[in-house]
Amino acid sequence: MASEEESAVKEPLDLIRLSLDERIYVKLRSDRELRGKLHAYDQHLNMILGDVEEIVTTVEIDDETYEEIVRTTRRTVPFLFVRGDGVILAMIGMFFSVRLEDAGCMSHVIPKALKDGLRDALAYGPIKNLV
Amino acid sequence: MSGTGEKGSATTKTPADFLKSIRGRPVVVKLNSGVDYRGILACLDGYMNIAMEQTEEYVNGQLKNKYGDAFIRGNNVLYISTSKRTLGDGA
Repeated sequence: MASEEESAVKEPLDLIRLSLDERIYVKLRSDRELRGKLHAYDQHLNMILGDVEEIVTTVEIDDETYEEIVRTTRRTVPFLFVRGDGVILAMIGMFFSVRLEDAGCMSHVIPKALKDGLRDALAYGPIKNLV
Repeated sequence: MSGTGEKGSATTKTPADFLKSIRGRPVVVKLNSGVDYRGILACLDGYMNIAMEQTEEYVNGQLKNKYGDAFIRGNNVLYISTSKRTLGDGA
């Protein structure tokens, strides 16, 4: 089984490494989401993000109708240090794996040209419900 | 295509062996928050950090998002379970 050694991803953090200088999506504790360019990270998942959009989701219960009112607050930050312990999940290259599956490739061996070609599309953040 | 998903199923002895044996298989990862992630387990490490492909996020049993590759920080993981469902499979 040589395929595992050839693959660019041997451990989960390699997935983050592949996203350096790419825009990524990060889900944090207490209903916070970040989208930004990954400048640096470490093994704790402390991260330096640039050109960040933070989305905070709050749910309030209406006193009379008991309806849930979901509010989102957005702000942008030029640079952000994120402490790793707040991270739940990081998402990268939503586009790639779909395309690569179509092509029947090993999903982690991302052709450089494809990656470059799609970078601009990805720069505008996660594309939800793509499939 | 060397994928035989069933290999090594009967010989797992320790939790670590189990985790090694389920790479490449469809799994459900439940987080402490109760959110489920279903997808193909790409790899994991000693912290139980997880890399997943074709990830689907379920909150309260409802599909909320689909992601390509996802990294899940290990400290949030409640359990990892193999699922019979084969993702993206026509039949």
